[in-house]
Amino acid sequence: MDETPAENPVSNDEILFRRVPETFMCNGLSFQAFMPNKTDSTGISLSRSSFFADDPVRFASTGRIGKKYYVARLIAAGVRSLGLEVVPRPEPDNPGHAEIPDLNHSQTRTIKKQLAPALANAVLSVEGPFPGLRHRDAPTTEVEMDP
Amino acid sequence: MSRLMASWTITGRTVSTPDQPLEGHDETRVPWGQFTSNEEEERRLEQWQSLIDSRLIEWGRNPSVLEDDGVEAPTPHTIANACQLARMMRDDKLPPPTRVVPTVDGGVAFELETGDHLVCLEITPAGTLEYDRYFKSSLQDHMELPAIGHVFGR
Repeated sequence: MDETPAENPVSNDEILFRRVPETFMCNGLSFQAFMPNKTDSTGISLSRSSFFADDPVRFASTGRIGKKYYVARLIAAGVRSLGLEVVPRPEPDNPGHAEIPDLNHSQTRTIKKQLAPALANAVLSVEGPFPGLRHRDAPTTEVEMDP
Repeated sequence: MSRLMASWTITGRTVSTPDQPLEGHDETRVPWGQFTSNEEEERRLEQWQSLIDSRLIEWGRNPSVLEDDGVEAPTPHTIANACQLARMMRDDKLPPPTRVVPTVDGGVAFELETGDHLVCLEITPAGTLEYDRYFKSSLQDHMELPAIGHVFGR
């Protein structure tokens, strides 16, 4: 069941970040960047850019240390225009975490392959690559940042 | 094909090869298709080789570069299958893909993007192959093949 906090829904004009491992960016963005992986049991993850001061470098730093990431920007209205809902799923270490429940790991491959390219096509821009700064076993947003 | 049959007319100069300095003052008709074909063939082969050497074999040497949160690196067997597919496509005169990327579940995908068209050949960790064709990001065809040898009827 979706838990959408009524007090803080994702508005249509919100910018959403998707962290993209650099291997998915090669002569353009591959839709593999939007294929749900085994940890995406309740939907693929996005983050609300306002929780990261709209800073893609800061957001990318939540990735693993030693890795580099691109940051794809989407607008919530663009996601919804595909018939996909985007809902807030705040996490203790990432209050700006959001998910697209209809694109999750348990979906059939055909459905995933229908939705992921459409989502990739809705990307407004891609920036990077930026370094990840999170140690491997640390929570998602526990990173080492310069003051 | 019409482009391959076309001629390239150089007025007032004689051309030995497109890369060499222009000499003479005759009107010369250069078989554009032949030059184009040779040059494109060389470039095509270089691109395939670069893809195999710099990307697939490199992944095989250091698969950890592909691992990430929830993303599995392809096994050496899957990468070997990808190399085999690349060689088959190269030898069948097919253009190199726009990109080769790992998939989130340990496969390897070859994506060929031309305008609004996208064709994706994905080698799965199980050794099967999936073909997907998109137009304007909309899935048009999806096919699953039991092994990469079926791709070109081998």
